[in-house]
Amino acid sequence: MKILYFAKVREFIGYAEEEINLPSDIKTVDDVLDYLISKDSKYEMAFGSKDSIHVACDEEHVKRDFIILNTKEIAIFPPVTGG
Amino acid sequence: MIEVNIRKKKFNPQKIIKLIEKEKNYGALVSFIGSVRENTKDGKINKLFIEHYERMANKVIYETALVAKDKWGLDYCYITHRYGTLSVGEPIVMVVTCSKHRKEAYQANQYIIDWLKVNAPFWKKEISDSESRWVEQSI
Repeated sequence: MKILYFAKVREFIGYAEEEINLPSDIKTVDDVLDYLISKDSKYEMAFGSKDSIHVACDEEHVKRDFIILNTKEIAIFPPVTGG
Repeated sequence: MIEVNIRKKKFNPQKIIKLIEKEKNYGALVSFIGSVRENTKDGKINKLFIEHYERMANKVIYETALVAKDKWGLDYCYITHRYGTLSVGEPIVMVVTCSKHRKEAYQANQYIIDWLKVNAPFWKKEISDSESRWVEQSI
C-alpha cells in the first residue's frame, strides 16, 4: 500500500511517501493509523490526537471506518487550508 | 465549460478576466481573488508556502465546479490555485463564474470557494523573518 503524507504530518515523519505491506487483519482507515502508531513513535507524534488528522483513499476524503479493501493509495494530512 | 488550473507560476487576474470577457456570451461574470496578506493573526509574514496533493486537488476542484455548474446553470467556470512559494500581495486563488444573470454567478462563486477551502488538499505555511508555521484551518 502506498501511503502519502502532507504538510505538518510529512515534516514529523520525515518523508512524503512510503510503501507498506499491511497485515491482513488491517481492514479500516482507523486500523491503518493504529498500525502505523504501533510501529514507530514518529507516527504518534505526527498524527497527534487522531481526531485532528484527515485521510483520503484514492483521492477521496474518507472517514475512519472506511474499509480499505481495494484502496491503492492512502493520504494522511492535517485539515486543509487552501483558498 | 469548466477549466481548472493548478499552477506554480504567478497569474494575472485582469488578463484572465479579459480573456473570458472575449467570449461576450455571459450576462454576468463574478470573480473572487484570494491573495497573500502581509498581516496575519500571528504577525507580519514575508512569504507563503503552499503544499498540495495535485491529483486530488484537481479532482476535488473539478467536482466542486461541476456541482455548482449543474446547481446554478453556469455557462462557464474557471478556477486557478497556486502552490509553491508566494510573496505578499500575490494572488493565491481565483474563481470566475459566468451565467446569464448575476444571482446564479454570485451564489455559485461563493459555494465553490467555501467548498474549496475545506476540501481541496492545499496547506499553507506562513514564513516570517523569525519563523515558519503551518496555518490552522479556519472556516
